[in-house]
Amino acid sequence: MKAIYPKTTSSMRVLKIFLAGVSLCGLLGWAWLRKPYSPTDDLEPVSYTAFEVSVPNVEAGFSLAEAVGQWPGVTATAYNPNSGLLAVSHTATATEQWLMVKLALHTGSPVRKREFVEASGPQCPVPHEYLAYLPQASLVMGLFSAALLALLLSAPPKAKAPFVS
Amino acid sequence: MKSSMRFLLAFLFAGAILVACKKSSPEPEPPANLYERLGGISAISAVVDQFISNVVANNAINARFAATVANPHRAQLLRNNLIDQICEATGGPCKYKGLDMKTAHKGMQITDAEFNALVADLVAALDKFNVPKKEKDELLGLLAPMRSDIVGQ
Repeated sequence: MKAIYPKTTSSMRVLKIFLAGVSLCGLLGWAWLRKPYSPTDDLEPVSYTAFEVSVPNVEAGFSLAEAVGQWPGVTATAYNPNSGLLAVSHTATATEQWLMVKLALHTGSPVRKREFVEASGPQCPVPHEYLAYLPQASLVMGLFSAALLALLLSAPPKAKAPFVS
Repeated sequence: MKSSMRFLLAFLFAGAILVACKKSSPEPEPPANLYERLGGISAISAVVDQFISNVVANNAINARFAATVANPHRAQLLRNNLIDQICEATGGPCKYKGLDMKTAHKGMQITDAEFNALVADLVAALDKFNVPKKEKDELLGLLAPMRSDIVGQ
């Protein structure tokens, strides 16, 4: 007399193979896509904004740039007398709106933001910022699938009564 | 008497070893690499922020960067790539993760005048931070070979 435990169903086997494949692809994808660490990864992100400012003379433009450079969240400023533009490099602490209001108050005249347009023509339909998270997404997918697979493999056989022959 | 002689000999032997091992003169410190002389990552990032600001305010070339500046993610990528490039070229611990210069500028048809305007903006950024002439020339010398990969591609 020997006990025969029910075999794994074929759908379960397919699921296990699928999970193994997904976890392998996810981890390989992460290893291939991930970028090496660089100290720049730790730097605070900045944005660049250009403002059309009206100043009485060139010196006033340069001193305005100097003054703006001292504002919190501003990492660099540049005034170009030929373009009349004041370019500001700023962190999230200094938002564009905040800068615009402060500039208008400082100069006593309306300030306009120079709009730079994104390139026209064929572009990748997936936004750049999403593509940047591809390695992390691949790693999460791989680890999640591997965890599910481990859970399935470690599960005890079904608690059905064995067939007895 | 015998044991004191032994102690004296051991003492002299130890002293001789100490004298022999002592460096005759302190070795000169190896010269700091350009990355350290520039002031490390914080100084380089400050120069790069100034450089990009100069470019954004410069009507002669800012149209080339319009699409990049309009997208904060792309602007950030440009900034980090520039910092990485300078940091790595000067002997720093960074790793440049962008495309090679030829591929990155393919099809852009950048002219000599545009490249010169860009270099002038970089020099202005270095001057703003009072980077000494020696370091400035060294850095520009490291970046100069990129010209052929950028202009006319």
